[in-house]
Amino acid sequence: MRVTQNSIASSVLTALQSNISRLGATQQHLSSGRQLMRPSDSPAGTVSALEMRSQVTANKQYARNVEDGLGWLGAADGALQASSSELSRVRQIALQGLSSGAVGDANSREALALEVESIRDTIMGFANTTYLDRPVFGGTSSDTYAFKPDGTHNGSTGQVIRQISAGTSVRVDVDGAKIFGNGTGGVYEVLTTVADKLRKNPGALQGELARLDAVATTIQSGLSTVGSRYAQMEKMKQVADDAVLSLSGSLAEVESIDLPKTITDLQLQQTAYQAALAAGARVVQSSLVDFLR
Amino acid sequence: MSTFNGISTALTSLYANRRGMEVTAHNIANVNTPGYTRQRPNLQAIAGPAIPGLTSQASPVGDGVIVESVQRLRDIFLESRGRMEHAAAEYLGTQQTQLGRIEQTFAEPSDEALQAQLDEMWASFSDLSLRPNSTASRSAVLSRATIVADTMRGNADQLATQWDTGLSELRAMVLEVNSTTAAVAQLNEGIMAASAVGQQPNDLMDQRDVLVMRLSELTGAKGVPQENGVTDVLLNGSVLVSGNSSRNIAPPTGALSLDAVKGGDLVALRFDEGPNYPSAAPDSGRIAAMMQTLNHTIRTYSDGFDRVASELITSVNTQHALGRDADGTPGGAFFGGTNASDITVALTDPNDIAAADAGATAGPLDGTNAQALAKLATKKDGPNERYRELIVNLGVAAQTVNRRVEIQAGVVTQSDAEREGDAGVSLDEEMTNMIQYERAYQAAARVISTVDTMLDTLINGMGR
Repeated sequence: MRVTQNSIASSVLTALQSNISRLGATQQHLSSGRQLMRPSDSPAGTVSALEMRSQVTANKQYARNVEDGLGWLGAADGALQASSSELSRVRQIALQGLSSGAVGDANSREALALEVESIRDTIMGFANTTYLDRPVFGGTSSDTYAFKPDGTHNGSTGQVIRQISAGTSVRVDVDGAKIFGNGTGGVYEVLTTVADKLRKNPGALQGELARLDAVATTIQSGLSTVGSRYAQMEKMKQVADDAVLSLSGSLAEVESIDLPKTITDLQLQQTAYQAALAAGARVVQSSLVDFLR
Repeated sequence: MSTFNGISTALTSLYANRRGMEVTAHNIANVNTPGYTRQRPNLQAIAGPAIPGLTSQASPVGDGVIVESVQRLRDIFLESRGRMEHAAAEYLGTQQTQLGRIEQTFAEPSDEALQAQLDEMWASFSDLSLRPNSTASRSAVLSRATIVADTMRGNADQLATQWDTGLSELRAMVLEVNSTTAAVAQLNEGIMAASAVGQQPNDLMDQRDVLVMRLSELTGAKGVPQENGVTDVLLNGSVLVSGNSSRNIAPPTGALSLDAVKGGDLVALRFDEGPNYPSAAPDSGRIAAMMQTLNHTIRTYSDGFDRVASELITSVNTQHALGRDADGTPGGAFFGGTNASDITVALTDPNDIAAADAGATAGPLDGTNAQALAKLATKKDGPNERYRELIVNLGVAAQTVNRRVEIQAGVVTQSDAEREGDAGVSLDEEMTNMIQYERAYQAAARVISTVDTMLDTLINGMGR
């Protein structure tokens, strides 16, 4: 093939152009810290970057949902624990009243009855525990209390549900009507009856002991349900946090540059560019003109 | 035999070598002229009569040398291949630019573009499910959704603007084609006139070929060399330039906006010749790529984006209607509009967001429906999935074109190097020729002075 000065010059120019455009691209990657600038850089990488970004956002949201759920369950757990220990005190008082019997001092029985009533009010206070102004035993009620002063349940039957992973949602409220009861057989009614019988008919307290035990068992079972949900949520929080970490890592792997590799590439391309410049300068310079006198 | 024949033979050599030197000078002068083709004097010996007469006195040697022609050394096959490759490179380059602009419109992947905004909107729905009674959460949903709607309208608007800019570019290119064809026809006329009187209009041909190359880059037009040195130009099979006459292409007709293209109208090019206005559709080059962009490419991504928007509108509105707002009434339309260019957030009062389930058991502070709205993020064929599909399709198309552009650039470089190598001026060669002509000129002059000495011997030295 015939070669002329101009064809050499233009091929040198083309080579320099492609060298410097590679250099420019690497420089852009380095200065932005990203290797995925636009979808065409890697369509597959782009779509996984988009998906991972969505999942990072979703998992952060799950972690927030879990955080909120733990608040609800923690509040319920505390209320149930305290109620349970208060109930065992009531059982002691009932036994005390039963053993002293009708012959016992009416004044001391009155004192016991008063204590039972105050415990009853304390437990109803626990049953009205709120988390962020919402009663944890009141379902989706918009009121700030779950039980009225007379012990009837005021809450809604709607459940408070938290989405804690793509496929799992957990109930974070506790059905107050089921745990504390509503009307006959409920904590309020049982404790009121116990106090009443302490005053008037301590001998009949034997029958109330079984009812007290039933109430305590219900609260215990509520406590274990709340406990297991709490544990599940804590586990899911760990899962969501781990997912955010590992997804952010993978996202960086897809989108961001490998710094040592990119810097090495830059060095190599600079060397290549300089070599091309030097070679071009030598080749383009000379022609027969230089050697004719 | 004539006594003075030697002098006139040497004289033809002086003339011929001087002409050779002139051609060399012309070549060297134009070493950097774009499109210049190197020229070469074709020397021919002046022979004696081919069939000598019976009593011929002619000498058996010839009568010197003559410059038979000055040849223009350009290979028409390399040239037509070069035009084809340049046209293809321009076609792909224009597609690359246009797809690049669409990529810039969507600006994915990034922490700020639409995907991230959609994700934040879904998250705000989920946040609302935690606190259905919080006005702050409700307002957050509305503002996130407004950002999404604004971005979608903004992107749709950018696509429409890109279309409008493309049409203006197409208009300008058509004007350039018309002025170039007129110039080619004019040069053809000059070439015809010069050829008719036996001149060699090599430099006019060079200028003409530069213009034909420009036509090829714009439209993929092909040059067809004719007998008398003129080149006709064919546009996708129709005559664009024939000898000294050229045809005008009318400004683009048909669709005048992206919406018109989406309605089924297309941009078309026609010759400006009533009443039929025959079609003038280029098959390659920048104009063909621009028409492809206007009639198909932008439309494809605009339609795809509309599908994302309409899926977002219907899926959110459908789920929203299943819920109950803060006042207990069923959810109304959340998004208004039907596609990406008219999507809006229809709700204005944060309390109108239907966060609660409409079921009888759900209490006033239920957040089930808000969570169901958040779950639309992972819906099969939902807005997120459709958007990702759009972006990956765009990425694959742009990547394919980018690769083809790179390959074509290599082909063009190769073909240009061959053309330049074939037709370009080599300074080494010109220097060599210069020395040859110089030496030959010196030698011919020497012949004349030698013959002169011989005559001096004959005239002045004899008979003393």
